Amino acid sequence: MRDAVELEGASVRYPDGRGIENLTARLEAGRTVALVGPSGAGKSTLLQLIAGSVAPDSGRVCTLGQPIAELTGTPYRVACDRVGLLAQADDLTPGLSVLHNVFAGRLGRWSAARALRNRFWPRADDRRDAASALASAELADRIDADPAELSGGERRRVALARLAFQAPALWLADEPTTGLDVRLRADMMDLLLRMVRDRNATAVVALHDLELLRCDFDEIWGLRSGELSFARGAETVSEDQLGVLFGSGR
Amino acid sequence: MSRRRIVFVTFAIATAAIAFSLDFGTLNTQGAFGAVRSLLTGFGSPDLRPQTLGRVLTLAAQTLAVAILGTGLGAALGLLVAMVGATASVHGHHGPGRRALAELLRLGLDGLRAIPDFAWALALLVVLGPGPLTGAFAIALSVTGILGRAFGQLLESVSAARVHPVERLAGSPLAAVVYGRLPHIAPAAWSYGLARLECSIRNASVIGIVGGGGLGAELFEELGYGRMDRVATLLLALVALTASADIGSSILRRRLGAGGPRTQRSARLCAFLVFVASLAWLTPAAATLLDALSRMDARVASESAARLLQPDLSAQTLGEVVRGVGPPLGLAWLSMTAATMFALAVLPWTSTIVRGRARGAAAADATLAIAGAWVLRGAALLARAVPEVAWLLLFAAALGMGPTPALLALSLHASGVLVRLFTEAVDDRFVAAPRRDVGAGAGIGWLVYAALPRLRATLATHAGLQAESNLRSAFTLGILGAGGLGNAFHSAISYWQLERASTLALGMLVVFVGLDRLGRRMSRLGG
Repeated sequence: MRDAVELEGASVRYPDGRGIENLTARLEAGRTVALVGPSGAGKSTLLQLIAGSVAPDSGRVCTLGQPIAELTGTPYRVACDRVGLLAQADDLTPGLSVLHNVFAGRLGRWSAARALRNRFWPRADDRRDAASALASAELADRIDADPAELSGGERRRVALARLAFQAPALWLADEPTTGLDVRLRADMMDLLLRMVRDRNATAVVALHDLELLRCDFDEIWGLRSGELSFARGAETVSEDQLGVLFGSGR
Repeated sequence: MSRRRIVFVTFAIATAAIAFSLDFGTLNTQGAFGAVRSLLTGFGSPDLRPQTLGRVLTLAAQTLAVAILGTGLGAALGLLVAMVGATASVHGHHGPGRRALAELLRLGLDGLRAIPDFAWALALLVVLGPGPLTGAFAIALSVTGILGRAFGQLLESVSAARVHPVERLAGSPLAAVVYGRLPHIAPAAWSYGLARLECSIRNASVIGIVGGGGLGAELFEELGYGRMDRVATLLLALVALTASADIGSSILRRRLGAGGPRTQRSARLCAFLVFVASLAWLTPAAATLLDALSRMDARVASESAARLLQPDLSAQTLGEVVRGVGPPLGLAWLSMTAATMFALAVLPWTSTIVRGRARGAAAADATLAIAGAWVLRGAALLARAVPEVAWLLLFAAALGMGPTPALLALSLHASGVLVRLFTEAVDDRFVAAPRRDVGAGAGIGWLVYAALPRLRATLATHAGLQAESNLRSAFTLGILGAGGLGNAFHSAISYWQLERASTLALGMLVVFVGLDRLGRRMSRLGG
């Protein structure tokens, strides 16, 4: 099977000394991976490298077969459309209804005319698709609500529905459960993984909450000080390895 | 000498120099007493016959319709231009071509903004003939420039991080602006639009003087005939209209600011309905306009347009521009200084919060202070409700036309505006502030040592914007005879010297844009 993500000796160095050092890894298409490591280990940087928003200082990064960071113009935007991002913070647009926030997921594929039309008189088929994306995030009844009227958990699920509507081949999520209460985190993560599997997509999810490793990931990658300390099947990672990763020796 | 002292001394010297350079000597004080007395007699017994009142009401409604139509058109056009300009700052779409387009649009907006609606009305008059729609289009042109620039700045100030998820994906930059940036700025844009509508109502009430319809034409006529009882009725209607717009827009803006997107959705609907109603109200005028257009000779029109595009660059006309720039600049500067000083001086009495801090004094004093505050606020409302142009006509009726009535008119109006803005700035910023600052309790001490230093940037912005508006108004007052570029522009248009008019308009544009860029550079250095 083709690789969705391919890193060969990729390095990024920031002035504060953080970054990624000589990282080599590959991820098969259709797999889900949890990225774990102490804070500052380089999880977000690795996600940015894969998304193409940061170019490697040395080495090579290929996402869905292309070095996104080197692309410009239309090829860049096409590549962006195939890579979906779920940010740590709540990034819905205030003042835009849930429906239109979900619509934003397909701006890469719509012509300007269609995008503008849908802002004011949504086409029936686009509205139906958005409604079904919202239904898969269990939010079918909030389609005309405003983000300000939703709870924190609901807002995160709108962001998920936006990704489902975008339907990218690769889902990148940076600590997507931050700020949610403990009970909701596992539900949200299960929902995310279910959506990815239903669409035969690939996912890389950075986690700070090790409890969430109980969710159904295929692989776990451990990062420490910008280096990959392990990358293996989820069922084969032991408590000891995680302990070493976090330096707690538990 | 400290830097602040240098700035202060330069400021004082410039003010004094300008004051001496303006020609205030041509005062006609002999007739002044009689003119003031006949004005006051008029106000003592305004013409309240039913047919006069009916006429005044119709004209007031027409004024309102002109203002709404002009502001609505201008806001829509301005938003469109601002959105196209903002596409240059969308992630992944900034190329040199797009940046050049944005710069070009900005220059176009500067041009629309620099030339006051009065001057636009004069130019449109040539093509469209007099009528309310001429006034509405003139206001629309000026509003396009003002709101287009304001919306553009708002759109560009949205932080890149907040719109990243949308802009990263967006295939077309316009869609990125519509889905990403526009919703962010909607509340602020509404507030700007309402504030502008308020100004437009004021301007529409006098734009009739140069053929724009509404109350203004009649006011000018009756003043000329010396029928002061009718002048009084018209002025009372004008003040009632502009003062209720002033109060109404304050209330609406506060409500819109507090309300969520549902409030905005209904606001959008209401705005649309009101716009359509104004359009319907002015439909009869459209017939006249179409008639004028159909009678227009296409050859003459294209010839006139061509002449406007070939500015007269002879030494004589250029000299006229250079000489003409002084008076409006001086008037704007002096009136801004006077108004700022006045607004600061009365702040201890107009601001609720300063009075609240001073409380604890004897109860009788408090009652007096509250009464004083209401008197001051009422006076400020009146001062800004009457447009500069109407103040000019009143002062000129007493003193004769010239720079003196213009300075009085500009200062008075600007004082009214700044008193409100400064008072709101203090009261809004510190409304819930705990009383633990320096000089707690003492009203004026708190104002000087705690409040004003923190508000310096805000107040300076208000004063700067007012100076810009005063400059525009000074051009306008010039058109009516107060001297300077405006005067020359009016005579050039009247004598059909279109090349010369074009040069003079360019002169206004250059002064305006130059000052604007200078102001922006200075605020960047200061910030």
